[in-house]
Amino acid sequence: MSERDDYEALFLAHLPFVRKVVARVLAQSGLRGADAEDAAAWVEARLWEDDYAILRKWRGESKLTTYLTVVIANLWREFRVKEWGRWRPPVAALRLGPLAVRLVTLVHRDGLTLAQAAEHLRTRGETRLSDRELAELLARVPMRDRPRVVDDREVPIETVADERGADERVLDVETAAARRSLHDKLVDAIARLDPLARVVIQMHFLEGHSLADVARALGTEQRPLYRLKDRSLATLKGRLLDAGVTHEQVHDLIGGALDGDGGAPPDEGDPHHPDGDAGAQPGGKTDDPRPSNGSCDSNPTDEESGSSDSEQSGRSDP
Amino acid sequence: MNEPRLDPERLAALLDGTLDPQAREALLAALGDADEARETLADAAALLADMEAAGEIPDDLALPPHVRPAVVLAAAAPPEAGVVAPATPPPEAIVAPIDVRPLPVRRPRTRRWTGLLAAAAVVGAVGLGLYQRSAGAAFDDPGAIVALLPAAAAGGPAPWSVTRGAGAEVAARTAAIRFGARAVDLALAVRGRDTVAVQSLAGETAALLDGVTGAVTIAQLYRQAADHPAAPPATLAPTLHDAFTAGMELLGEADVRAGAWLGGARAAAAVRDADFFRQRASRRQVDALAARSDLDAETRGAADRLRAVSDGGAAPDWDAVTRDVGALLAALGR
Repeated sequence: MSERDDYEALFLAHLPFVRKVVARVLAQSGLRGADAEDAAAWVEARLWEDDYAILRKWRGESKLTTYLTVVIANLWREFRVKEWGRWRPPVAALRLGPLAVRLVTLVHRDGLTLAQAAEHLRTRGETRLSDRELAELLARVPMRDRPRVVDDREVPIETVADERGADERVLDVETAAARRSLHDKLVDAIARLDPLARVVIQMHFLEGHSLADVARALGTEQRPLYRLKDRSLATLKGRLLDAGVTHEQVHDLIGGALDGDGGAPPDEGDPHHPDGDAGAQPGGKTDDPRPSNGSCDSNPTDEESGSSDSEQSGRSDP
Repeated sequence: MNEPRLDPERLAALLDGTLDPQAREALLAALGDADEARETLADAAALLADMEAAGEIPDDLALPPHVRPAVVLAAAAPPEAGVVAPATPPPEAIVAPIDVRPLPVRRPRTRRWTGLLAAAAVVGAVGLGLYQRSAGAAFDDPGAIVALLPAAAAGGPAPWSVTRGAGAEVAARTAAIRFGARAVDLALAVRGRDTVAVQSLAGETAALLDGVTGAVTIAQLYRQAADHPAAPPATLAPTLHDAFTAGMELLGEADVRAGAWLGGARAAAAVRDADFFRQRASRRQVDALAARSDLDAETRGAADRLRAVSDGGAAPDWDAVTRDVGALLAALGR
């Protein structure tokens, strides 16, 4: 057999796995029918074209299945950018916490219906909120565009209680320039964290990935990341204050569950936190009207994503 | 934003935890400035986590002779005196992007005749698929059987109880009938998102297979489904399809197909769905049932009456249909 035949054999041996990965990607994409088939065929073609060039680039540093998964995820990201443009979660979602970021991303970036996104999050253990509660959370994130997919079976976002009063008050007192400046200071403070802490904070808080997924991504245990996250948030708070940001603004940016923020000290907060301390969440307020997802806290392995500070027992605002 | 595009294999090695500390630190530092790479990494991590949970990551396969990645070569080659083979590529590899070119929204259709050929192939494939389906292939897959049933069938009769009883020794043909019928019950539960039923039925199917020589791997697939009953249908269905196909090959296609049809017929009778019985595939299956040599006079009568239903004509007596399907299941599955 020639070298090409061997790579073909390697490709065919892994084709069932490739198809499973692609099927999972497409299931989360909102693409259906012929569009999904086209996308799947395109991914497969990329893997075998140019005499299996992608397979030939595999050096054996990682498992081949892991490499193929990364390649497919990379191809899919490129496809998304090409089709729908680059995605950045809105600052309003950042304020509401990782769950809001994740939800907005699934609906507005990936094109899932609210019901599909809700089911996806619940299946993966990222929340236990109902569709309606998640619809309320989503409704609190003003978006200029509509979700790519609208499913008339889901709870219409417009019909849930309008709880944007608090947001609107915040928006009233902050000009767009001031908000941008604050966000830039946060990004700058994050950039000065050590490499691991920086990536963890970026992936969890700014991009909405669960700490479980962050731990998996970084090939590390999940438990130590909780402490790292809390320490990093405390560091961020200090740096933001040093940069002239007020306590209130810090609270608005990265949450009120920070150590020394008037709440309980570490290890005396949320009893469900793996280390006994509360997982700080951004943007929470004691009077936060967003739906309670205290049920998320009932599982130590859950992320408490998007949970408000008001849900962190023993914590209070300054 | 002009950001570094990180080497996919470095990201994969980070996911696998195979980077040495220095390489890991360097990659983490680079990731902080690489939004796209973080996005890819997070997506891949989520995919792998879900697939690991579903048991969909295959073991490493043996590499063909000519596939010798650099690290494998370095490990296999005897070290030369004074030369240390690098275990990992040089740092510049970190920013060596994989060749990802702009994506076509659609596959290119370069020439009209190519499109015509493709259309002809599609028509042919669809025609063949319809023919196969009409010839009985629909009962090679519980998901396809369930697709023939109306949505109301998801909340149909309680699962067939004769298959309960883990570890009971049963004849191979009996096991095949039970397996087929149970697979349809399971597919219905998956479609109906009934996680309790999925867990129970998948576990019972695994227990049934525990008594079958050579079915350990197949039973394991059903146990995986039982362990993840809340997984989306898009996740469960392929696993269950693979497991069913393997089970059918092991236990005997004719008997498993008969059991699957009886499972589907039971659900169809519960919702009075005459269309199910009048499918050509149903008619063939009923004919095959009626021709079996292991039926006594009573159950042969039941098969004959079901054949009359599948032939159309008078409106079915659904109570009788339910009884006849149940009698056949009981006779063949005990």
